[in-house]
Amino acid sequence: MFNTDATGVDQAAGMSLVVFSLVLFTYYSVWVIVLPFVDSDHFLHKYFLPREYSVILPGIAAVILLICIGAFTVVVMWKNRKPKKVD
Amino acid sequence: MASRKTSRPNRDSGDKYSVLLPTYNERENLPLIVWLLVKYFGESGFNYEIIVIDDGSPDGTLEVAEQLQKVYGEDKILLRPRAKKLGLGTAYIHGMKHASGNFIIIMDADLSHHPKFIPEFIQKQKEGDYDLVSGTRYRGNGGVYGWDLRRKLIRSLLAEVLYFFIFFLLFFFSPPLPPLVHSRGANFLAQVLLRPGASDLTGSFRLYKKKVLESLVEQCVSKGYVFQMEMIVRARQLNYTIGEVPISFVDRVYGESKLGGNEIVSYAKGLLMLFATT
Amino acid sequence: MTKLLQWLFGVSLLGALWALVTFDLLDLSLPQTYREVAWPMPFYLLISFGCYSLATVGYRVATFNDCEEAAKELQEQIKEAKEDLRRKDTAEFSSCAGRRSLVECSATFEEICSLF
Repeated sequence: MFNTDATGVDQAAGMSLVVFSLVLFTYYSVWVIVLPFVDSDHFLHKYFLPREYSVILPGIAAVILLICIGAFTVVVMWKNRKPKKVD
Repeated sequence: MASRKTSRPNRDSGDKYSVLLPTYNERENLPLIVWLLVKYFGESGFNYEIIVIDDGSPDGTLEVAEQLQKVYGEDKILLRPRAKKLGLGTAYIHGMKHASGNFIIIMDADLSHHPKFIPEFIQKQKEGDYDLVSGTRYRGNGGVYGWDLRRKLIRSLLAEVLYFFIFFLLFFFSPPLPPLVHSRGANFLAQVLLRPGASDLTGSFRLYKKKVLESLVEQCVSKGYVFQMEMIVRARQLNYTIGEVPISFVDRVYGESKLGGNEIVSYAKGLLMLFATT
Repeated sequence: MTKLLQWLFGVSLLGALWALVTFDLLDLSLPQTYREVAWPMPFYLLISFGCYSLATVGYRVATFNDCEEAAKELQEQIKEAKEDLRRKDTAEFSSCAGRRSLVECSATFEEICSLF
């Protein structure tokens, strides 16, 4: 499979995406689903932020994502309009 | 991909395959693609015709096509030019009117789709009597030549987003239970995870039964990039059976067919259109 | 009803269910832990969906076939086709301002065009 360097880099990038998403999913699952059933003095609680952040952080991420998508759309539409005016 | 087909007597089957080649400024590629088509159809022995639909290319594609017609015969190469660029969807309708085959093959004339896969398409179609066979770059031995990491990422992401939009949002609540639940005995999860017939929504290398293509084209509302995707979506909606053949896609003109912001936005618009109208 | 409306309807139904459990609107006196789990559920679903998509994208990128051989094969066939086409039409007919091959013919057309 490793024909060229490019392929190797692409494979590494792809696999790191997979690993990243798996880690993120596991961490968030533990945080949201498991933690409420664990006693509050358990050591596991040390590795997680307070509970409200499990909503605040994804919320911020979602807002940023939406802003990016919106900005992208606006930029593309604006670029599209320009040549039409020239014609 | 070693699919050596020694000349088999396929002419008796009575099937005829009409290849629709919409062209715009393909003067250099047209002779090559026709040569390859003739070569592979000749080897496999299927009955065929090639319909060139030129949208008034300023580079003289039509003249080249006329030359080819003289070389290969007017029964094999049909010219159905149009005066100006009118878009893919209408090109198919236009070409189909003149097609005498009972199967229609749609492909790009820029050599990114290799005719060597056509015998495989035909075989696949015969295997399951599929209503349409779609070439896929994302499965089996399929793949793409000439894409860098960035393009692979964007394309995969786009494919993923499109897939979920279509199969979750478009079908999930459709009143007669979604066709994906009870088609071909596959369960819902398998449909979602394995994505039969839909691993390459935006590909444009496909084989249709003529009747199926006619009914699909009639129903499709979108234009441009979104058209290919809508065809597959409608096909699923109408319970047509879909086969898939892995294809290698050779992007020779590096950078030219770049997936621009333009294309992405028109995909988004097309999706919203589908939502509002279906 | 368009798909858009169906979808909005489905989402609001799920939203209502979520609100029922989280704010205990029916006074079922659910245990506190259940409500604590239910509260971030919408975000949990979004994140799992995002992770699954990201993993699929990553897997696709990692297993993308680069098709080097297909490109080489095509390159060779193009050469072969050009030679064959040249042979064929110089033998069979003459047009495009005299006896010229298809390949050359295209070249001359370009030259003509560039004059204008």
